[in-house]
Amino acid sequence: MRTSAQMLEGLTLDGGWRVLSRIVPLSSATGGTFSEGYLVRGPNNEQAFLKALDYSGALKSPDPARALQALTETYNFERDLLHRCRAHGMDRIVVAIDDGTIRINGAPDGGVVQYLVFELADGDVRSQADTSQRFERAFSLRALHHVATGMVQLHSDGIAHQDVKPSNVLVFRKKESKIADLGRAVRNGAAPPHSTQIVAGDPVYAPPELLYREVDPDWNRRRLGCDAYLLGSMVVFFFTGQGMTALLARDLHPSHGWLAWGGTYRDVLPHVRDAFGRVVNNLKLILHPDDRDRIVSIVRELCEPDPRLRGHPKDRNTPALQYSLRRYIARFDWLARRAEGGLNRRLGASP
Amino acid sequence: MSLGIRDEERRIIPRWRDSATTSALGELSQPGSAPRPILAASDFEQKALAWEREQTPSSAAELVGAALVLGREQDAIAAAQFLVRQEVTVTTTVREVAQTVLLRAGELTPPAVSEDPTWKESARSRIRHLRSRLHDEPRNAVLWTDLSREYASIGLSDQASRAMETAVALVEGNRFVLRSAVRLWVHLHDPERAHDLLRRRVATQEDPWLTAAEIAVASVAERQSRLVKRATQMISNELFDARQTSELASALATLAMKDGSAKTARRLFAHSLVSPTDNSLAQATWAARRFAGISVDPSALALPRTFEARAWQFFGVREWFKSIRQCMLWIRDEPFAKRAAQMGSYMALVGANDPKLAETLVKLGLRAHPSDPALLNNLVVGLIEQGHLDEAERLYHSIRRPVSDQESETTLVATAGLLAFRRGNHDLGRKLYADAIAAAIAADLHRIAVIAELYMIREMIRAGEPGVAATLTEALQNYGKLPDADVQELLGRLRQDHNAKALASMHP
Repeated sequence: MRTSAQMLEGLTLDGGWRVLSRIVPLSSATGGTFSEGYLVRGPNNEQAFLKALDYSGALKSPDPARALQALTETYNFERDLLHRCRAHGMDRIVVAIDDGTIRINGAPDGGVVQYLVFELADGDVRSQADTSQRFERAFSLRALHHVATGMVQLHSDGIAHQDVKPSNVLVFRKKESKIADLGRAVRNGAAPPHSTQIVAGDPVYAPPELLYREVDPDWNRRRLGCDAYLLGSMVVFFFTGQGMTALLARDLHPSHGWLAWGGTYRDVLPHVRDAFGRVVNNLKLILHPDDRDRIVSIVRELCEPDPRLRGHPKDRNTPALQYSLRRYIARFDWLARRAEGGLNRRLGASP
Repeated sequence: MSLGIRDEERRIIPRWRDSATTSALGELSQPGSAPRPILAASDFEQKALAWEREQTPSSAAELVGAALVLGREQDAIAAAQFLVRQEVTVTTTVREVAQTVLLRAGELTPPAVSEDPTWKESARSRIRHLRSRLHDEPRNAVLWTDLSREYASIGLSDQASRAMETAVALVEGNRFVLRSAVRLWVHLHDPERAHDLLRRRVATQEDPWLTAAEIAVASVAERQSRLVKRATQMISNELFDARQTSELASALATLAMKDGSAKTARRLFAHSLVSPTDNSLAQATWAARRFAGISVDPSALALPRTFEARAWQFFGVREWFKSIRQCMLWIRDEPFAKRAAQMGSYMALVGANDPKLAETLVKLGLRAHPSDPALLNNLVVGLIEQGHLDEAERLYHSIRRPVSDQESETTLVATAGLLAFRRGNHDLGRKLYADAIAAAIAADLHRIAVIAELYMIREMIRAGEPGVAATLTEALQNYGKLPDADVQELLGRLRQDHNAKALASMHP
């Protein structure tokens, strides 16, 4: 039986959005389990992506009231964040063009569907890989520049994304990358339902300290430290096809892995650091010689396994700045410009 | 006279292997309740659905990465198999991750812990590699520990010490680093430092592997461990599985044995053998040699890297070359393990009668212990047996004689007797042997006294001294029933030598 969120095809929503077709969610589609995606056409004939909240899963849960409440709170929190992003002109964040609610008559599950409308992307960054799953160097570096910019935009408003991963970096007009899906973001001072979870975002990309359940009471260290790691992991993804966490899982002996370890993170850290060193050494072998040292140094700083030591060396000792990604915007921009051929190698001084 | 079987005392000081081998042997898993699984079912299911629908390298790569992180390897076998196919073009890293998934899902056979610890590269080249990594990873305590081990293996004690100090400063309670440090300080004759290191760490009271090391090293340092009661509780409370407490039980059993508590010692050794490490197995076999009622299942010798225990087993049945081979592997496994080189070279001289082989073993041991008097003594004996008397004499006089090591001192006097005999100075030879025997008896070193006497008889036979037949008969009567395999080997050879000499004198 179809749910309300699956019955939007052919409808016209407030704001003049005509729902054209349901998009079978691809692995590259943004959105979580509790949403449906649609292709919509706007009043000015522009195409867009609609994310419809699906309450049906929550209604089937053992505690429907609580699940429904959590879902609604999450939706409201994400919508409010998107409004803030839009209001602050965050151009490297996929912001909602519109949002609203529609009532479906005769629907079995109440018929109320809340939705968000986004600019339509070409796909996520994975769609830009060639047939051998490799990314063009200039594209990767430019995308990283855009992702770093997006993260700085969020951080400047006290928002930590917590779920930056390949499927959440969307590509527009073949070259513009933006960060999507604030569904697992957190804001300093606010408390969405998922803020109680140790790993707010996708654990497959999460930093090791969270997988070992080390919860630092310091918001910056826990949340911004996580975002810094996720940016470093994106660097690793562009050049290897896997995120840092999967590579740590590969290089860690299973007895030291987060699924088996019963001790503290401090005690396992030497082994995590050793595995991290091997990952970075392997990364070195595949990087373009022109970029190698700079990229390796960026990965070492951002994915440093000890969150207390993570971040740019010049900012590390200033608590407010420790996880600032501003310097990385310039560094990725410089690398991207050189890879794009727009920077004279002799004249271009590295930031 | 050669020296090698120092079997009087053995404590369960941690083995020190490189980090990868120690992990592979399962000695670094952390005790305590297993952590809760990561709740990420929806994240994984989304990826699994995407792979089912799309069947693309991209969706397969996403799923295998997730499988490794979430421990769901069994659910990503098809995707991993897809990625390792030749015709699927993916990055080397993605393919390697897929192979790891197949390995952990049991689809590929995991490599066993190598039984041959020989490295392809030299220690110097391994040191270069480690230093190069440490240049980029100065906080990597595991690498500092591995570097320290490499230095120790070639006798660079100061460098080993400095590298270990750095490693120790970088960790709080890491078992690998702390146990390795204990082994190093004991190797460098500073058990007090090893004990101080452990007793100051909180982890020593919580981790049975560290508690075991603390109890053992306190005994070496001739101190009282304050953790005996706690250790006993750790075992009786069954908070840890038998593997985690094997060395702890062994350490307590050794203490009980020393205190004469036979029943407790037997019970604890039995506990240590439920799921033994190679070290607790060696400790139990050592205890079984001097204490009735400790039974070691021979099948345990099939466990990886039980070189020491196997060497003793072959020694007991006079399988000399097999035992020497195990000593050789033991030296490569623990290049600074002096006892391995001492025992191996001794057996090469006494059991296998192969002085060249003894020389090889001694030289392996000398890399980490360049001035060890026992090893140098065995080298001198090997050289004498090969007829290199001048070289042997020069080396003999260069040995720094330990003041407090009565065993080495006595043996060195006997070796001087051997040298005198081979130089043709039989009177001096006999006198020196007699001095050595008297000193050994005075120091309660009865085994040394017997071996010295048998060596002296051998030289007397060799020199064709009159009256040696009676001396030999007396020795056969006195020592013919001793259980020691080396004594019996020597007696058998003396009988042969004497018969051959007698035959030769009848048919000049």
